[in-house]
Amino acid sequence: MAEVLTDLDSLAVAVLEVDENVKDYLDVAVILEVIGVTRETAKRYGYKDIFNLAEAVFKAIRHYQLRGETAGTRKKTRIDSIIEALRLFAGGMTLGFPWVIILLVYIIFKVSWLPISETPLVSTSVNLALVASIISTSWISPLFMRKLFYFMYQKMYSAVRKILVAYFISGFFITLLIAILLVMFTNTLGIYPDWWITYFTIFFIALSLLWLTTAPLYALRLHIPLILTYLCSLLIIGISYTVMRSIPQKFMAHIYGTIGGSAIVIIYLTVYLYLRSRFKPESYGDVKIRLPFTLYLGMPYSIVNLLYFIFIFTDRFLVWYRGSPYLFLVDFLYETPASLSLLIITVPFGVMNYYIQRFYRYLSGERSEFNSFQIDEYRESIKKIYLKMQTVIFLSGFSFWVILFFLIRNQIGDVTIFTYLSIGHIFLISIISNILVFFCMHRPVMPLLPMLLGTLLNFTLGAILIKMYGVKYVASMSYMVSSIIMAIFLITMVIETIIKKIDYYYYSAF
Amino acid sequence: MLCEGTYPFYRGGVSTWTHNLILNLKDYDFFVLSVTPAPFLRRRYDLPPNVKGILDIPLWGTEFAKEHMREFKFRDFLSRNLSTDERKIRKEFAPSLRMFLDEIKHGCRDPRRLAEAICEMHVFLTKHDHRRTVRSETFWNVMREELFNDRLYGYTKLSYMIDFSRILSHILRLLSYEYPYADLSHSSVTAFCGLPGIILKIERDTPYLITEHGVYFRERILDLPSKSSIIERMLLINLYRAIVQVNYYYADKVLPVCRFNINWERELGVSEEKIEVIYNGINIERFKPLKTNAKDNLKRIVVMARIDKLKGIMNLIEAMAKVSKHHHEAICEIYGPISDEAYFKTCQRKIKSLNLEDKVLFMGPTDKPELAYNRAYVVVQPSLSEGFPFTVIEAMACGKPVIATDVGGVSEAIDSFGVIVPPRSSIALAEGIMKVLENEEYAEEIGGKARRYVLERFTYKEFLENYRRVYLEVLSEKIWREIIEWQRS
Repeated sequence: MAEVLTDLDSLAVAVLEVDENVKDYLDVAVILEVIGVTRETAKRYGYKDIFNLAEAVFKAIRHYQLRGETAGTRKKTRIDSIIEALRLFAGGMTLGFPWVIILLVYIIFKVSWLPISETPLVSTSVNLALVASIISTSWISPLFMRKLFYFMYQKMYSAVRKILVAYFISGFFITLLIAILLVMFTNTLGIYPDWWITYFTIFFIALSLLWLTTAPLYALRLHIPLILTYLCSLLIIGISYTVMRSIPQKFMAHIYGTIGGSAIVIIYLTVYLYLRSRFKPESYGDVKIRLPFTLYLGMPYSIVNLLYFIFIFTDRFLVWYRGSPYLFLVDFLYETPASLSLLIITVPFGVMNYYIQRFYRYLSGERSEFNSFQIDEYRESIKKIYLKMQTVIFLSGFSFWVILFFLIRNQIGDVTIFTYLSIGHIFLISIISNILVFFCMHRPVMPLLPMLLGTLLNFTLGAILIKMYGVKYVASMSYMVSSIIMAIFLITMVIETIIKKIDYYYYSAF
Repeated sequence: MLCEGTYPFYRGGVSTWTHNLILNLKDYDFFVLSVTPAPFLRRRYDLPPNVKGILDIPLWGTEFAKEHMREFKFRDFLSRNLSTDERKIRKEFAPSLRMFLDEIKHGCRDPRRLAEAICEMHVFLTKHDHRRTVRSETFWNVMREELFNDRLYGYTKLSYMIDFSRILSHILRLLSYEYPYADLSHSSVTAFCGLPGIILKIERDTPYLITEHGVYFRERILDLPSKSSIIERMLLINLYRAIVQVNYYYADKVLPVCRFNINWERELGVSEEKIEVIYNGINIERFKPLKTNAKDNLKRIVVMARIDKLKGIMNLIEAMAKVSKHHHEAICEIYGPISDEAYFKTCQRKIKSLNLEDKVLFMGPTDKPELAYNRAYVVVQPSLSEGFPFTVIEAMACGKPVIATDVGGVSEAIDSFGVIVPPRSSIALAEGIMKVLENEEYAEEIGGKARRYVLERFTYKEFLENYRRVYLEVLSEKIWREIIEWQRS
């Protein structure tokens, strides 16, 4: 190649073809060498060695660089942006999909995921098992998931397997232990009949196992397998219903469906990891998992998750609480609007997912062109996106609430409960978006205090108001009020701490 | 022995050199300190019995430094973590970090000042928690004051500076380890892994040697992403330059593997008296002409290289398109791991577009390179950048004609006993290959001469004797220094 280059200009052009951003003569010397210019060639040009020649070529290059000739990059078209927005919106909606699917399958096929009983005591056993299982497993998965996600990102699949095995084993034994403690507790109370305790325990264990197994799917953002798991679970229940005749048998169909779902997830994850490690051989040897470090990292995430689930179920505890003859008893009038109000979360979830991704991209500088002198402008731009995210979450939530209300107003039952809970859910999405901002910055300790105060407020407000005004609307109202307060608190906190020094928090997040 | 991204976790020229040196210097005990990108890497070499320990320092892949080490206890971690606070960082760490950054951004104006900063940071980080230190607001504020508000670097994209700060914070992990006692430290590259050597030199007067295979600084320039702006490149280049300069400054000897490197070393300010070329040596009992089971009439063109841009595989493919038009019996076998998946796919597409599917074959890595060489009619080395490649002298030792690009120390290895072509020229490469394919007598003649040349110059014996001598020289100099100091006191 060097033979055809006869003057410094052609050499400069040849160097620029390889790299248009050379910054000094040493840069140039390297490229001259790789395009075949040797010491002999340099001598032919009349230079002592390649470094002298490089200095001369660099002078010529500076001429081109000063003309500001740079390579262009393809700009995103409007259609690209719309497709991306739709994809992110749909991805966000899948976060709330399991509940929506369960509801839709019930409306269309009349297959219920949990057994439906008209006897409040029977319903209490199932619903209480559901809530207890969610709360009791909510803190286990975050202990392991951060490390799991980390190893997955590093493509250390054998480490992912080890983490998953440790997680499943500890989750299983913790669930058993909690089940034993709950049985002992309900036995000590002596208020529930034996069949109730048996139902409660069976459902508690089955549901806990399902939450434990699906948690990695959430963590690894495997939305499609997640949806398929629930669909398969419902399919098993549907098929079992056609075969089984007696009521106890039909009851068991739900257990088969739930356990079937867990089995599907375990099989899926095993195959998923096997295939990954089989076809993408890793260069890692024996990866040692240091459990204390893993738990230390996961602990704050675990507490946040626990508080979050206690917070969202506080209204149920308040409504179900009877004192005597039964400690808790399901209130059907509350359950219908409460279940339907969950539909509200889908659209704001989609919006949140879209904006949180935009927020991350702006953070990483993908869409911003600020230089290091413009830190204040950078912070201001992040603040704008953040506030836009919050505004759109609220706007989309309230708009969807109006649409939903007109679509299902005949099934809602009590409109006040539905309204209070829906508003609470809209603010809950804002709370989640803020927690995600803290998590993204790897600052899980920061939202702990507002979460704790919010949960206490929800519980205390509900308990006090019930004594004053009775149970009917108080639980949903206290949920709504505490959601609003907690969301405002978290938004202020994010703006005043994280966004004010977003550059620092973003840097130290990794 | 100080390594970076090589021995014993990755195969390649530098790893082979390290392994051979350690394995054959049986009268020396070694402790290997290997800087790696991730922990728990699979070892690619069985450690010889004279390796008394290994400390792998992953810069990424764990959240806490030392987390991967069995000996590192959680309670130690907690106590370090609790003892690290903003006040201490501001008082004890920030001044040295400031000094370090000041030197880095100017590409090392004063190596002694840079080394002092490195040593002070090392002292702090061995006693305190690395993660807490680099995640502190103080750390960030110093970075901002020194780099972001710099009159030049302030114009870089903020996102780039954040990424750069993160990279730097990971590199500083290297300083949070305690290094073992050694009589001599020897770095296989002029890179970050040399920092322990510098610290040992300053703190314990341990002699420090550097063997330079490819010129690290030159290779880093080649690696720089071309999309980044001039100022961004300048920052990275200055970082590398600073690390290279401080390494050179504190090295008792710089030992390039070929004369080609000397030009760069001189240009980067290494004094003549420090430089001594020690060529690589190979095992002539292993690499010798052998009978192989290849019984067909094909003329094999063997390439021993990892699949990577720097190895010029695309040029080779283009050259093969020309060669196969005239020589249907010629096939090209490429032995080596894939280190750049995207590049490998581009190569495959190129092969397909040129209809060379049965002419250019990727054979994967091999543990028996001597057999691969002996299958060859001719061995080709099409690289864009090299130090002093083992593949060339191994092939020559097997009595094979070698066609290689004129990069690094290749022309020194081949001398006049092979065909040298300019890099990046597929036409010249094809012509070189055809010249050998078409002239059997010539092929045999240069093959024979090449083997004799290797036996004269590039054997283990020579290679090991040189290193033994250099080791003894620097060790005895140290002893002399100690004696003189003792007499003075």
